[in-house]
Amino acid sequence: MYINKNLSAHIKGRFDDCDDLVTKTFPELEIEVLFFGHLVGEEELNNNIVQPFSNIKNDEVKNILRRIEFKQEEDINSMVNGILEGKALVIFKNSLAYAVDIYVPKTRSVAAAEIETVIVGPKEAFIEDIGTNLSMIRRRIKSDCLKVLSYKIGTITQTKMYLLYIEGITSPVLVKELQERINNIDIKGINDLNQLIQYLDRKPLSIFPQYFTTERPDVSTSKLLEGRVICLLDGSPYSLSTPTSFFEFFQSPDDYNQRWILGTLSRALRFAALVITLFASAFYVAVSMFHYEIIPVKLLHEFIKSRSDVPFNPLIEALIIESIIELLREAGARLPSKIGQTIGIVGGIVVGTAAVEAGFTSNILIIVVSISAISSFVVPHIIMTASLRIARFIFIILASIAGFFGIIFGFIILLIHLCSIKNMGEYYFKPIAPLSLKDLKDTIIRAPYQFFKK
Amino acid sequence: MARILMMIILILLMQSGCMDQKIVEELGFIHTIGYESIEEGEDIGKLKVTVSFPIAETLEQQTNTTVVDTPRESMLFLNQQTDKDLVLGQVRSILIGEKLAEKGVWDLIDTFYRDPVLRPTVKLSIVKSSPQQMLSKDYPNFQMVDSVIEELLTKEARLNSIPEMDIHKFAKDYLDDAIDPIAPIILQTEDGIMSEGIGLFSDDQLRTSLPEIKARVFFLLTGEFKEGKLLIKISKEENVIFSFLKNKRSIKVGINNNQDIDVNLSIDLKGFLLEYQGKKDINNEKQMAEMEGDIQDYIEKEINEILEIMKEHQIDNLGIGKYIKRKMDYQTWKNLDWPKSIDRVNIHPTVTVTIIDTGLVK
Repeated sequence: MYINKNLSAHIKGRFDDCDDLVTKTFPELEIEVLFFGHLVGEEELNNNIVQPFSNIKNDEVKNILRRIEFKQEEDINSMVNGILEGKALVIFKNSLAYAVDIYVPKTRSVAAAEIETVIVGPKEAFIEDIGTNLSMIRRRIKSDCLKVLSYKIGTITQTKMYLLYIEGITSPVLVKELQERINNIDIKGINDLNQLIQYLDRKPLSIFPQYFTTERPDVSTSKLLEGRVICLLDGSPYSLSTPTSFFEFFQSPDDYNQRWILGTLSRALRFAALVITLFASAFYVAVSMFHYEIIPVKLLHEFIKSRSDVPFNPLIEALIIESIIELLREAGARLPSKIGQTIGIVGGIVVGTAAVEAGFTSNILIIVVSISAISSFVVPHIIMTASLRIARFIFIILASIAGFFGIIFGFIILLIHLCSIKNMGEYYFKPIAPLSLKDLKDTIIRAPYQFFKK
Repeated sequence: MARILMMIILILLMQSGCMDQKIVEELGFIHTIGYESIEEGEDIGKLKVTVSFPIAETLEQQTNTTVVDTPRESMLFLNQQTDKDLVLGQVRSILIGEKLAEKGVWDLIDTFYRDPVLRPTVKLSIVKSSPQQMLSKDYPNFQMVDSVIEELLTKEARLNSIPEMDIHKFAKDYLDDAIDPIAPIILQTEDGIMSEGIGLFSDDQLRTSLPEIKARVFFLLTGEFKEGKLLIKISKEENVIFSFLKNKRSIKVGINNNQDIDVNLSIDLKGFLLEYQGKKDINNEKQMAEMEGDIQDYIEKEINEILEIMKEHQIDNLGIGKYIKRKMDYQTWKNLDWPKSIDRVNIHPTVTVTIIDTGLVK
């Protein structure tokens, strides 16, 4: 749509009731500039618009408009979008429009990662601004093979999204498949990448996260180099990578930055933590309800002694304590960090000591539950931790119904489920199922780098 | 996912009849069971069953006793005497009265052996007096006699003065026609308990016993005694504690044309002198060679005595039959009627002792 006359009024009509639209006029030059004051940088505005048009004569205007940063716009929609994206629209003689990109988003500066912290390695994390995030990745991969495709997600929010891959490493089929899925998303708007991945899920009822998100640019870079596709979303300090494997959630950059033996051992520790956090409480319930035979005889006395004062049966007891731990965790996550410490004290003293002294629970259960809570924090990814917490409750209930049989039953169902998830054509439980011995050296263990070469 | 949920619900529904809950605090964990036969009174011929289980709240042990006809009934009657639900899953040792052991114990062992709840490593031992008295007496030095019994058996087995005998091994030896089972014997003393060597069985009946010193030589012969200390009394004045590091035992069976069976039992011991009381000069090689001979003679003498005992009772607790069985076909073996024919077999023990070090003795 091209309108020759009264362009300014037309665009202002589109922004009716948008009081934050700033209009700057140079009447003697017949120039009108439209922009959102909060999207543009003051200095850029001054350098590109205000100064050039100050103290010049009428015939010099055309020279200025020929400058590189002045891009002539012909379509009224793109003019409107340009203003929304932080451009300044320069209207000359109420008929010609030029867009000048002076977008400077007001964002926080790059800070250290808060959730996925590491001991050794880069500290910086993504921020909400997509341009900054992209620059962090471009800075790490100085290659023209790094391709960036741009999308807009959300019919109203028009959120910017980038899809990154390295040509020659990533399979084109994968890129195509992801493009297709992104194009199929039909929503009004999106706030965070973690929302987006749920739109991409093929098994929405699964308790496990099917896409790997990270707030660390170094992790994203290594995912790119492994042949995965990365997505960045404006307004989200995360990046998504796909295809995803279950075992990615148990890897930390620390494994790679430290010596291989330490990396291997800490990975082993995390898998041990996985087993503990899933089964510890269920094991307690199964033992105290069904399998008294396996209690070591030296522990037996203490075990019965601590159980004998408890009025509930082991299932109710375990569910109560697990729920209290969940309450504490949720409260700790919601409270500001200054008050958050109180939760620790209240939790530690009230739940830990007083509950046992009051005969509310057995102290062995307190130990079991706290070990499994600690273990759940060993898993480096908070989204996976949450999934395991849900699975743990299922296991506790199964253990109360059929003891070890129930646990094994649940475990088999869990395995079947994990093996059945597919993510962008790749199996989620790779390289265990389907087994790929070659990939195991960077999954279960972290072999020395020399071994990675073929 | 929906299918999985359906499956879970279906399977759980089908299992609603399988209620097998045993909540720990409601259970009484039997630690030790004692069996003895009643020899007099109106209940003569019946079984007296004693169980001991710990009361966790007070850290004491409780013993209950009942008199029954068959071992299977006992749990029913014993359960009536307590507020706890008595279970067998934590049984650690079974004590059998000497009199009952002489009559035969297979019925009992079989009951336990078939029960999947019982671990096959439950220790089996013979009690010289009555298991009931042993379990219910108050001992000044220890609170819970049942765990003391278990620890004593474990320790003595480690020192090779009694066998590590559990119901699995007993059943295995009983069912094998080439070996007869053995079991440790424990004795109740004034203020405690002590081990008293090993009891030798013929099938499932206790026949005779070996004292502790002979028991160690016995284990030299079975090959279980790989390293350790032997007290050797050469004469009244001469005592040696010989600590050996290596024990090579070999059994060779030769059968000649007349169906005479020769068994060569050889034991090769290498070790050092830990202690010596006597007149010999331990730094003199010649006298040391003499001492080696003395030790050999002593061990051979003990071995011959053990073999005599076995021949007298027509039992083979050493398992020599196993080696003979390998050398002949099944029919000949059947005809041999082992171990009744043990006195027809010539067994030649040879002991070689090498002193490699005289140790710190001066």
